[in-house]
Amino acid sequence: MERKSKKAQQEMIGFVVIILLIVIVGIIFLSFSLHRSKRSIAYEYQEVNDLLYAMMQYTTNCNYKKMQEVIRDCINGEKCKDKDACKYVREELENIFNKTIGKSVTYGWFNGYHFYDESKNLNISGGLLEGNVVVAHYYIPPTIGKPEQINVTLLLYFGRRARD
Amino acid sequence: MQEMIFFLVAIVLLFSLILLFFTVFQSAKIKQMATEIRREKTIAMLESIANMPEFSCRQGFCIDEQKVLAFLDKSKEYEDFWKKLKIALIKIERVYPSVNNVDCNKQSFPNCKRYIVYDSRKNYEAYATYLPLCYIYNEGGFAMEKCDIAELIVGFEIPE
Repeated sequence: MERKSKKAQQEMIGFVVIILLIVIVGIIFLSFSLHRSKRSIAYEYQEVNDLLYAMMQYTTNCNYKKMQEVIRDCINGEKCKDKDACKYVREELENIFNKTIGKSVTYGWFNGYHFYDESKNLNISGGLLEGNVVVAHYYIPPTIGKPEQINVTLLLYFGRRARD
Repeated sequence: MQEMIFFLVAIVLLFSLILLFFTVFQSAKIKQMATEIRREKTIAMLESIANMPEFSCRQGFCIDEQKVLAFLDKSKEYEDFWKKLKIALIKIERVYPSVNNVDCNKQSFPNCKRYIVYDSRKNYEAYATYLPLCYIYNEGGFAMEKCDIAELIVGFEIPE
């Protein structure tokens, strides 16, 4: 009787060891499968940076000035033709955002955008400002007679929309 | 003794199943990693293509539209090069300001939408980035530069 009980005990230990082994394998497997790649963020970061750069280099109808020069005019309180430079920048940037964001072939699911400069003379936003965010900065370099450097920031919100 | 044999067989079967499961999982992961690597390569290639002397501006990070226009005549000579890089599509599309929805050539330039630099007509997965698309024009004897906002779209072949 005692021998039988000892054998049963041994089998029980064996069974526990097997269960433990399976659990360990399961944990390793889970840790591998839950390890998510963060590489797509780098791509989005690059895309947003490139968009901001392209926007700043865009030649406007405002005396053939680049967008970055018109933004400088806006911050200095100057005019673009007969129009307020800030109003012109605001309209142009809104048009650009409408034509670019959300129409990307790869990530056509941007929620919204927020564009501003340090002084907050320019503060433009649109869409839903929620979800993951990618930030891009651009320094408008000083020019002759205008020595100050202007820092503009673009925040893009992306991810699944809350209302979907 | 018989119990022991059954037990051993059960263990071997169990571990075989685990091994099989693990192999399937690993092979799926390797395939996924291969796709990731191809993807990374294409994303890196976006900047490389934009910086190719055949397309890039003399100064700064932008595409010289007149160079692209000239390249269209020579594009056939580059087909092997694109094939070696597993590229299936290279397209430059003007996104702002709005222009006529026509392909770009010497006749339609600069009021045109897209330059098809290369299209292998194979299945592809595309990635894109924005960049300035600039050209030089003459304004009262002065060389002026006009830059629009464009999207560089690069597609890599999806292996069958």
